[in-house]
Amino acid sequence: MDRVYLNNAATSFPKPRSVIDATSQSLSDFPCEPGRQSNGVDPLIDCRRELAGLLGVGDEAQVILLGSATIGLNLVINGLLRDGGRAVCSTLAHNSVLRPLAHAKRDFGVTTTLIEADREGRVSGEQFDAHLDGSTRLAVITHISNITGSIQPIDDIAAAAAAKGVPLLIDAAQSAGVVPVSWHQLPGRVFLAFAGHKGLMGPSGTGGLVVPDNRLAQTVVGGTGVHSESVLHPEFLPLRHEAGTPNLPGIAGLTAGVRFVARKGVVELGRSRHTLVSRIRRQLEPLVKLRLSPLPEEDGRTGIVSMTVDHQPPRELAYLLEQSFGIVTRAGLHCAPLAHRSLGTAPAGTVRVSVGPFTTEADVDRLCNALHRIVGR
Amino acid sequence: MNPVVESEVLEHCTDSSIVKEIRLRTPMTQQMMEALSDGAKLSYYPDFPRPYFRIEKPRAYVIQGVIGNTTFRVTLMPHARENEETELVRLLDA
Repeated sequence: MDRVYLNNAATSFPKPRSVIDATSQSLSDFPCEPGRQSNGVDPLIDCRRELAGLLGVGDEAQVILLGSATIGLNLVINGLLRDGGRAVCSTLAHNSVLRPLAHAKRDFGVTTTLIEADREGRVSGEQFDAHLDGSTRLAVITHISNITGSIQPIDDIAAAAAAKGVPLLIDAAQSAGVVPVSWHQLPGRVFLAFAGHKGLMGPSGTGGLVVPDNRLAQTVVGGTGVHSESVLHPEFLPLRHEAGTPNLPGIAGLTAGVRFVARKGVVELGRSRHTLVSRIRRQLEPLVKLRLSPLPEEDGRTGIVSMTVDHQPPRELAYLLEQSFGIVTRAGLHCAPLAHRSLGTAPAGTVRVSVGPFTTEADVDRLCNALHRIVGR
Repeated sequence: MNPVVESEVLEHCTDSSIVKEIRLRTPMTQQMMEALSDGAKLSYYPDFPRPYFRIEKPRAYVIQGVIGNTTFRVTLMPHARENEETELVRLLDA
């Protein structure tokens, strides 16, 4: 049975041919290790340049290439909160934020104020404004909920943080390459962590962090291939936060992925996802036993639809869809346990469907037909 | 011969239930499905693209599987007896 992949919010699939070719080519070529050996091509600079262009970053040196968004989030949380203090984040946060904050509480005595999202999975700039003060060392916002696909007003939240002089960390794991991001237009001291393997269409094991300056404490240091005579790790960007041999095949693939997204257009890709999401919601709304998570109409462009079915645990439904109908979705808490409290879907979570650039109308129709057969009984 | 090759824990759930995947020596048959449903409630959907079944034994387990697969999934409920899984193997072997 041919399978339909509707789990793009976890990892986009299939990858563009150009990404597969670039990754493969990198593995086939003589290794080019920037700073250690050069054949005139620096794949890291290539990648930084493409990312800076897509994310609206003026200076490509501010783009730190890492193994994931999670590592970027950890760098900021551990870098800014190592002396304790208070952090503010929302219940939409992924475990990639919640767990570093929990460890910061255990290790550094950090306290965290949680802002409750509404039933549509949204928080506001006003809520942040009300909770930020002089004792706040860091505000963290999830740009797009990985459960509902709701988009948070990062312009308003950045303005609220900037007005109080609080650094803002944006978890852009779901948003980079999915909605337009213009980092340089955001006021204040803004960090932005991004994943490479989702909307940016790169391989797994890629991601990074945009930093506003070179003041963030260095928490990961080691080999860089340059200034080897120095006992201490370089302090200049981007090497300030990069250590060890980079994932060159992954970075080559990520560069191709970003180029793919830029060529297709972030807005145009969003329009296509929106059409598919509307098609799914329209077909599933008549099912009385199935509940779609509420989503503002314009946020359909994120490509995510979450649902629950009466008397059917999400993991059972996802298993049935995959094993019998060949449709891959994702079930459970999606690593964002507090969000389900806000959304009213705790403790079992939801079944999440997420479309990508290669998802077709036939794919989503197959999902809807399957759900009509399962739930319509 | 033991019909089960291996049993792997997939998830420890928040409600203390445990999800396991059971790998079989031979593909699941209708006869095996019926054996597993002894003393439990069987829901069978032969008209689905791949014939699907769900077996529920209250306060013990929920089994989900597909005829023809070499694996099936068991969710052991929080108050399930320790020997429920052994009992399932015995049912398959009968």
